[in-house]
Amino acid sequence: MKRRNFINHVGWTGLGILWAVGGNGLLSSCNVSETTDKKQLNSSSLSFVQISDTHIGFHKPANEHVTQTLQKAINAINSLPTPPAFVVHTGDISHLSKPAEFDQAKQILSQLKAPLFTLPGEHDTIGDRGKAYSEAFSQKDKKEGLQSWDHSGVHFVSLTNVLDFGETGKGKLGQAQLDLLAKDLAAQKGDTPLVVFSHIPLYDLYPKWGWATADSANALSLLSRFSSVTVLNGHIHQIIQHSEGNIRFSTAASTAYPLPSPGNGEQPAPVKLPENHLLAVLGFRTVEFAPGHDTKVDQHSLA
Amino acid sequence: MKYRSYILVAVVSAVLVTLLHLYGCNPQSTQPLNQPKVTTNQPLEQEKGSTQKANATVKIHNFKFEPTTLKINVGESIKFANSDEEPHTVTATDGSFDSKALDTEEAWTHTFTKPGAFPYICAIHPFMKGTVTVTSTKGKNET
Repeated sequence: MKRRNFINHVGWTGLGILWAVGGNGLLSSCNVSETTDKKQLNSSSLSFVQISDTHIGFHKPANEHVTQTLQKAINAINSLPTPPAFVVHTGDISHLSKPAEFDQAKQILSQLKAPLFTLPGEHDTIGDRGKAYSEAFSQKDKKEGLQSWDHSGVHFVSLTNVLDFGETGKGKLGQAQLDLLAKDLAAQKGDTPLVVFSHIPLYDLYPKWGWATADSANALSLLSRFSSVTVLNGHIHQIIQHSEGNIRFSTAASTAYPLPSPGNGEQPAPVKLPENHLLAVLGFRTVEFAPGHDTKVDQHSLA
Repeated sequence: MKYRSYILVAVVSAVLVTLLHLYGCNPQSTQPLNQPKVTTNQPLEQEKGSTQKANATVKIHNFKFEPTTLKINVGESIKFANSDEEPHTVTATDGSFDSKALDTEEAWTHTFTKPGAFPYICAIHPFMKGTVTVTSTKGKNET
């Protein structure tokens, strides 16, 4: 009896995961928060999209058609069966911070049916500390690079860590932004699910290539008292997941080109793949908060 | 008979779960990409953005400033030439100079008018570092 139940259970769990992944070209399906399922969220179901590293203006062999691959992502987002509440672009909208690149990116991104939140990558702040970027993408809701909002019982914080760099070339949030983050989080209850966005990862993913944030420990200590924290980053052009305590980190795929896995090769230069292989590693992701369920992150490839 | 179908479902599911796990569900692991060898860059053919004659040249190649440290005299200029496929910048950490983005085969020349040591980075790849040391010319009063 017990054995039969066990086998039955294992069987259906497997099928459940298969069902979750079988949708439309999903790469994987992960539960990023095991803690939220223990509590019923006092909220309705919420779904949002993360898109990253569109690099409009890039025209090298790794992807000579970055506007087309972005367009493909936008079309896929607009036809998702569950329309997202909003879309967050986690930086490197442009390749060289040129006004023309921002204009073009803005035109394509404006086709999104859902509201768009953006934060800058280091490619968006070249030479002008983000002036051209902020002319194209309004910064009126940001202070010290931080923007926060609430949706369906979930608290969202978007951070900027590309304007100054630490000694070893890591990203930096800066004390002013950290102070503002402390203030923002102080108003939140410990069981409120948090989602934090930044361009450069908020942990030491691969410091040798600058894939880390110098003062991230200060931010993480502010996040540690929350039972469910999801940190979503760009910059790495591939999906890498990591966890520390209740904090789950995940970097996003690019819509433009892949980068080598950490330490694979001499430098983080664009990786050239055959076109069908390229589309398979490009994409965006959906994140779903359903009351009483795990946070669900689905990767959508462009293949 | 029932057991057999349950076991079948369990085995198939276990395989799927394992496969999915390998494809990115492990929070501690990375997903390696099929990475072809990084191609070497073409030699500089054209250089945009440089009009002055420079006293010295720093090549930006394979995500490195070459030479990493360079000494010049006050009033002299350095040409920074990018031969990488990736764009780079030459950005002083004290903010005293900034090249903006140098795309492939673009160059930028800067004249150093003050003595001192000027560390700089690439603002796109800030792990790339270099230093220009500017010394006062002979017999002048600067240190």
